[in-house]
Amino acid sequence: MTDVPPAVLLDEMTRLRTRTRADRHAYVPPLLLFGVLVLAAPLWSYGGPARFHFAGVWFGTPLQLYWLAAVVGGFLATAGWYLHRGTRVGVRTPVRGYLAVGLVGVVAISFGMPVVESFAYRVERSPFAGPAVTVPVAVLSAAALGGILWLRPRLARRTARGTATAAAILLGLVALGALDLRFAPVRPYAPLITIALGFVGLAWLERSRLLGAISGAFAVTALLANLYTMQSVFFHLGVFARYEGPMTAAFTNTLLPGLVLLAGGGVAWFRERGARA
Amino acid sequence: VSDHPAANLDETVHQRHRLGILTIAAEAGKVDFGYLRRTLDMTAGNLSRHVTILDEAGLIDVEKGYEGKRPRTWISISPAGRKALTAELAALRALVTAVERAAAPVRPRTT
Repeated sequence: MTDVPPAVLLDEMTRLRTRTRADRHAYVPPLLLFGVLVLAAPLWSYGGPARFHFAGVWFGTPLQLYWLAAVVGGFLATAGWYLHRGTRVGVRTPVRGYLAVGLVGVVAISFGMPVVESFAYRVERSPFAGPAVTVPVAVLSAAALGGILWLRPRLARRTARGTATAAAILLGLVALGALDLRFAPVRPYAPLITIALGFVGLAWLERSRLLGAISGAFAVTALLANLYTMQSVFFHLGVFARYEGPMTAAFTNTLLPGLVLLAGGGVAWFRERGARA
Repeated sequence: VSDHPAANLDETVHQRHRLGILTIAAEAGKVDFGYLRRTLDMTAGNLSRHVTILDEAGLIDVEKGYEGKRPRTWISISPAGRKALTAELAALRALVTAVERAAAPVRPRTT
């Protein structure tokens, strides 16, 4: 037992928690990396043919392959960076949940989107592909996913935690699948949603309000890019008002999300530097 | 069983350094022995003693390994440890509230 007064002990524990949290924050490089990857996407938007064909599904356009490489590479590089930095500093952030989000996103991008795009005309005719079904399914899956992620660290048995992980991955796939049905036939920018979900997960793992705010802003721009309103915004601003090819059109969709990540990375870097000084 | 908040304090957890170890481990996924030693400003022997007590109580998991040729020990909090830490912090907050209430001046009744 200790003789330290409870109020002093509580203050000391709060200070320790704050210091440990600051020591394990490492989200500046992932923000800058994904910012560059998002801004580089229009370079692959010239609309080449799909390279692969299986069971009536065509996939592998240059942009699809770019997103696949960018999302897989970006998520793995982020996990590797966290592992490296955790080993160097001595405090590791658990990134398995973040990798699970990446895995779900990659599966949705590499299988879900091509399937939906290939069967777009059937999807439009299906009564289950309308927003009356897809939006509630996506919202309910996301809510159930949040509940499981909250419950998982509180489960004592390893098998229960494994079951919770499997259920979380399945619910994530269902949520992204429902979003795919809604957005994929329209825009090829669903990978931005995967990246946004990854950053929201990272903000939760890092317990960082700043990263939460940056992720929220990026998620809004990612949704805008998928809802086709970015070009209208630029049209009203008088910039890129004329259609100048697929690359410029794609650029109008990725410019804002990419800049949000780069600016967010810059602000976070500046703040971290100030905190260390 | 007493209703006093102090009755809810756990003897294993209610120790300054052990509470510090659990707080840091709860904040991180895994924490290095060296980081704990630097942050809590403890000697290796003293820290090792407290880590053993928490490990034997099932409140933390200790993973010993090597990084190159250098031995390295990683510590993570167990679900039981997280629960014990939450209960301890709640008991401490209840104690602080009780002390503040007791210290507050009693106002005379004006009727």
